[in-house]
Amino acid sequence: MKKKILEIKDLYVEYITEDGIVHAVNGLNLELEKGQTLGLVGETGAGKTTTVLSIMKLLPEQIGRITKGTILLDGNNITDLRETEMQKLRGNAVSMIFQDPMTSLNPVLSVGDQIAEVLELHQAELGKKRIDERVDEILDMVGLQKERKVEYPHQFSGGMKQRIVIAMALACEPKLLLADEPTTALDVTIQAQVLEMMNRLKDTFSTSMMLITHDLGVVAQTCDSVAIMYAGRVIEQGTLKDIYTAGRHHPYTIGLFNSIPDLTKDTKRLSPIKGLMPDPINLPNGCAFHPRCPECLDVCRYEMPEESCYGTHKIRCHLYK
Amino acid sequence: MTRYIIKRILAMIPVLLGISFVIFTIMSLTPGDPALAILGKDATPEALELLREDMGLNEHFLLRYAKYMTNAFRGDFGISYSTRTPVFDEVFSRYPNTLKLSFFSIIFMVVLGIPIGIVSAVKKYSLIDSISMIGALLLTSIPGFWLGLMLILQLSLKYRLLPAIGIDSWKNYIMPCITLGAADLAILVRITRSNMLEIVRQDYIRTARAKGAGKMRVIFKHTLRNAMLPIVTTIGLCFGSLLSGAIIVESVFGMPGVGTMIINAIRAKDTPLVMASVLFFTIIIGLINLIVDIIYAIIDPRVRSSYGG
Ligand SMILES: Nc1ncnc2c1ncn2[C@@H]1O[C@H](COP(=O)(O)OP(=O)(O)OP(=O)(O)O)[C@@H](O)[C@H]1O
Ligand SMILES: [Mg+2]
Repeated sequence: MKKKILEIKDLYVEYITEDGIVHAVNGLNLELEKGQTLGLVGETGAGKTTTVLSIMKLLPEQIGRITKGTILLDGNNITDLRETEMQKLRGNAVSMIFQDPMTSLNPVLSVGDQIAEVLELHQAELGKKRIDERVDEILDMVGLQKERKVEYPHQFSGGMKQRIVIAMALACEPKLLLADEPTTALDVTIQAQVLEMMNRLKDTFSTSMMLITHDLGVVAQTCDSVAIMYAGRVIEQGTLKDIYTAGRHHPYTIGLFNSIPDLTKDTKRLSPIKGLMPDPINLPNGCAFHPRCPECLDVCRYEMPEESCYGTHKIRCHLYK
Repeated sequence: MTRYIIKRILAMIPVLLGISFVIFTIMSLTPGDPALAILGKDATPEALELLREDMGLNEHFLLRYAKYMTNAFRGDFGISYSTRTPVFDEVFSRYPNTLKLSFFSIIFMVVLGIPIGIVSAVKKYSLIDSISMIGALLLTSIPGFWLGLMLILQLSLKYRLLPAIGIDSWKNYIMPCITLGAADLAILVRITRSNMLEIVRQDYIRTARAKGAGKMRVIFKHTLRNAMLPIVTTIGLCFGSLLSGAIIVESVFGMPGVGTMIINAIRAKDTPLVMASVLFFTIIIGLINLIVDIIYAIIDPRVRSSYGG
């Protein structure tokens, strides 16, 4: 059996708000093998960002908290690590790329300084001169001229900024890269370039990656395995082949695939999933998808289905037992 | 950058012309006769007329303004009507005292206000935050002169810790600085706190934490620097209000600054003295604004590039 870089078991995360407790993640199980890329897919509000923020332990203070579950990073339990311990891991063993490159860079520091900062924090022993050379090398790797490191974020385009963010995230050659919709804010042509580059760099550094996206096309191109999330749970998980070939699927997965245009088939119109995501403050009993499910059974209304395994393919649905 | 500074200094000329014209007009149109003020109530009409002719008061007002400005441009600000000494000397012996007072008040404000604001923001809703917010509210609601009198009563009369009046030693500046800076200190604490809290919510702060930066580094390197812009603006604005507040504080603490001088000059219809004081005031405010803008450019590269090179 291959080594796992990330294992999340039965994770629960909630946000405390004025309107009530938001149950953002509810018993999430997730595994990622070393060197592989996992695509995390789901509608807006499914809890994808919350999941990765939990791994980084960067949930908003006083509002968000992990109430249950364990997170293993490279076999070590990081669930109860103290903040100072987490600081040694962040940017070093595990890095994160945020959704919007426009706002993720500090406007008053030069991009060179911002990249160098990660190295100063985790590899101070290199010394100033070596760090400086490393910054040049990394900029070169993400396809930016090293002379531009003295410039400030406002002097770069969106795509370039995302390259800088990626450079920062990969500077310490992390074991795990969490990329939260890294290309959604970019132009389609730039999207492809950036994704291609991330894939290449990930292989160079033998980094494992968790890629959050709405785009099933992107998943097909870049990921080894896929997890589909709904209302804070993974409802179907498997290799690319398990998910993309016809056969047993969760009705939500089927709905997701029907709601994107398929160029090979001559379908006249898209069929989006009917209804809305349930309110995370008041989740329905049983399977959270049952109010929208076209194949809803009686048992779905009151009992949460167990996970059924078919080799690498796992589905959480009463239709499959 | 140098070009920008020169441009800004040149831009002060029309401002100075405008302000001087307005003040000159007000001084000429308000009732009151400088000749009468100099010679006193018992002077004969002939003597008064002679003095008016002598001082050029009978000439057309526009002509007098033009003459005044030409002389002022050459560095000749005339003779004070009331003290009969050159205005330039008078103004220059008093401005340093007022500037010193304002400058010390600013330092008092910055040294206390920014750290208190930062601590309040970092420990939001804690006891320390509540105390500083209530303190700030109190300071803004207390009138400056009352605070000054209370300080004199307690620290000078009762405990004899500090001298009540004069400018002989640095101790003389302590109570005036507190009196003058109190209200603006409260503003600075609030501005620092609210801006720190605003910046902490920005995405790039989360990026910094995701890099593994510790709490102190996030606060000082990433948050404070970005929160500094509005803080610097506030300090610049406070300087203007401090200079005008100095007028009251100087009279409470018996300090020979411009404040008392301007009030007396206006009473005596001493146009040359009023004009020179106001013009210096304008120049100082203009320079402070320029310094604020330069500090902006140092802090924020986006501002720097908008100034062109
Ligand atoms: N800071 C917060 N305070 C309160 N509720 C929050 C907070 N952040 C997220 N939530 C709630 O948690 C749930 C999950 O949000 P999350 O951001 O993880 O979704 P997501 O899957 O990343 O969505 P998207 O695709 O739109 O980014 C949502 O219902 C959201 O409203
Ligand atoms: Mg998200």
